[in-house]
Amino acid sequence: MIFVSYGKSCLVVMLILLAATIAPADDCVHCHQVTTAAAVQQWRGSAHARANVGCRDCHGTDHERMKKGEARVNAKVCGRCHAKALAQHIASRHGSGLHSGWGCTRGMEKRTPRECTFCHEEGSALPRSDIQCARFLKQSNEMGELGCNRCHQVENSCASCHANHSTDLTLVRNPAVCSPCHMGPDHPQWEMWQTSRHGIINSSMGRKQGPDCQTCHMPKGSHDVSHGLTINTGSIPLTPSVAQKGRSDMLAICGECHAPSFAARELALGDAVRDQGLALVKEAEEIITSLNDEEALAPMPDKRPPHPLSGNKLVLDAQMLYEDTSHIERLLFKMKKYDLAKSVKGAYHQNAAYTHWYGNAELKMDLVDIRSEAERLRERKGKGGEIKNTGGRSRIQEELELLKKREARGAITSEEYGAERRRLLKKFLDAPPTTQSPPSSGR
Amino acid sequence: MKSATDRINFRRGAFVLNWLPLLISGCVTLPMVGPDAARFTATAVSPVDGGALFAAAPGGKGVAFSFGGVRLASLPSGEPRTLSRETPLALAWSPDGGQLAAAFARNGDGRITVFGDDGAVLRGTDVTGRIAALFWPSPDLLLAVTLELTEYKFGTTCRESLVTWQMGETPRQTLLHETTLKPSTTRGVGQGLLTRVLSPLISPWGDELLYGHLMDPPAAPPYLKIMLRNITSGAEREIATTGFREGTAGFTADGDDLLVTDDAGRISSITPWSGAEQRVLPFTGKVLAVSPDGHHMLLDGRVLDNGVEVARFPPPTTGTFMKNGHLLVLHDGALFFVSGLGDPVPAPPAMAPEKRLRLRTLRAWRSSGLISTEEYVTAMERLKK
Repeated sequence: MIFVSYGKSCLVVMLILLAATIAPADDCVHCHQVTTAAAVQQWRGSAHARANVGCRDCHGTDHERMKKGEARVNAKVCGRCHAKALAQHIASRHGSGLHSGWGCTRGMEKRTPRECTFCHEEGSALPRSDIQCARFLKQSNEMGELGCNRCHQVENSCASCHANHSTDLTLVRNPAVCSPCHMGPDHPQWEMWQTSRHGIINSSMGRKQGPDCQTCHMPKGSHDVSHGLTINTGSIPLTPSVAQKGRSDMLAICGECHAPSFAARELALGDAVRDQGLALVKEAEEIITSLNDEEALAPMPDKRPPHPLSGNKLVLDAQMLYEDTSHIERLLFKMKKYDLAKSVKGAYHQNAAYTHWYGNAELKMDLVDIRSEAERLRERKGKGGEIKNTGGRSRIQEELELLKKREARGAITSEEYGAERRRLLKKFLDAPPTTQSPPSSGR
Repeated sequence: MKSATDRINFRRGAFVLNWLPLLISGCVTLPMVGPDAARFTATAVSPVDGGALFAAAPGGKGVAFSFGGVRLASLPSGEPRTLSRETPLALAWSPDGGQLAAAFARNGDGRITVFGDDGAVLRGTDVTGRIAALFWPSPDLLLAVTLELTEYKFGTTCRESLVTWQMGETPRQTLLHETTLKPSTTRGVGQGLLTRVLSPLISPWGDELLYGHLMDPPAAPPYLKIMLRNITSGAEREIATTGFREGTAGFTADGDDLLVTDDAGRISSITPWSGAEQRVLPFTGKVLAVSPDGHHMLLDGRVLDNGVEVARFPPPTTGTFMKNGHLLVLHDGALFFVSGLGDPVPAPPAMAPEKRLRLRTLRAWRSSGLISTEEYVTAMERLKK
């Protein structure tokens, strides 16, 4: 009898334990093991299942919303249990609202209500962050979804790197997990790492000998992917105090394998290549700004569709567009967005070919093209192309306008501006009488 | 029962009947008081319509006015003749005084007609919106300020525009300002009178426009922003704010400064393009006119000679100085020619058209900040030599 009672008790305890294990999910699993079999299978093998975290814990209970795709699991949901990882993630470049466009897209053609959540917390009119992206705002909603947000959703989606239902860390410890986004013409870190000394040693001898993305940028499993960085978007150096800490952090990582002086020298070489690249870009920007002052761009900003954030103005900063722009600006876009990134990141990733041939050499050739195009545009204007050379007194007005713009952006000092203005005024008053019309009327 | 139009016609008829014998006898005068009142003579020209619309010819020999249509009279007194039976909304003489432009209403919009000296219609054009003012700054350029009103349940939207009519071309309309007035504001002023609130004026050089932006914020009384716009450059500057039909503004004789009266009647002299340079004049008043030589002012019916009151007309009297320095005043629905302000100001040596063009160019550059006010003044002095 005792044995019978003991056996019954054991059975009851086992049933209770089993019920406790499957209870959070069983009513979902019943159907979903058929309708979404892979998801259920991955969940069953996951740490979540072992820790008794079921479907409802993450997805909630509103099945109608789930069916509409409105109950996706965002980073905040994961953060309820993984608070430290979320905090690190939010503090990093990945957490900086990379998908957000400043300026509501609801008025734009074919936008879907679901897209609102890319930029807003549900039910809130306030944007999640103040990161702007003019290029995102120019996209169709299909391009925005596939071409932009599949990568830039990373701010709010742990599943960008982790699997949706599996918690197997093999996936996120593989550097290839970074490659879907960190590849291609604008920032080919994946390619340049693979073909660097580090990457080749890694593929031949394993990650203990050859460091990968996670080794240097997510040390000790940190979710702060900005660890050790010294540059911001566009290869612009971070403020000295932030950059100094970043450099010190990175040197500590390098120091696990290399002599500190060697690592410091290598990174300093990268800094020099970065500064040289930025100087080339600055020269190109100055050429285009001057052309804009001279109203020699073709087309001028006021003759194009408006920039989504700045309207009919010349935009050469991080919000620069590659479409609805002039040819010379498109050359600058390639220079800044592709070639500068390849040169700078190639240098920091110790890849000679990217630093030189894909990067620095292209930057220099871009500048040749830009100078040549500027010459063509000025010649075109002089010949009275789209913008007429009005000659005579109107020419003086054009020069005065040009000077005013140059002074406003600090290209000339106020003393130089005053002296030039006086020279032009004298020229105007000394000019022999003509029968020309006033500069314009009723503008 | 008489219609409103009948009543107006009846009143006009009665007015003419009252005036006719007096005009024929030449005995209509305007009583004046003040230390030097005796030196002035005010001679009746004609009764005028309620809108009190008139325009003196540039040479000072005649005046066009509205009285049952567009009429012309020679000055100081002469038999009026009729150019058009249609009531005008605005009048402007050509710079040489040989032609007259008149603006008329056309189904809520406007039409500008140009009459020759003999009354023949020479040309015309239609414009969108009600015409509030008409200017003829250079031989081939006519300007008009228009107001388009669209009524909605929530209020009346007002679009103020500048019409630039280069003779022989299609007029160009440039939006100056757009706003929505509360229903109570439109009721208070009267839709038909809104155009008068703008009170546009043109500078003596014919290149800068002084006009008002109608403003009607939801939780505050309506007001007017007085704006100065250089027509050549398109540059604008806010000069002052004032209540609807409260303050006024005008150009000084040389067209470089502005005189602005505020709601309390304080008069400030403003150099508009150089910033907030202001000087408060030592007398007060609201309705202001300045003689071309800058010596005389008409201020709420008082004649000031270099700031000293020399005569006073019975209130309410308004008026304007002609280019030769004589004064035209309106009192009690009649137009008077006032002489005695001294010898007619000799017309300043006419600036050669080429120099005038350069001066306007300099003024356009000043307005858009291409040259400083000091540089403008220096250059202008050199040009005037």
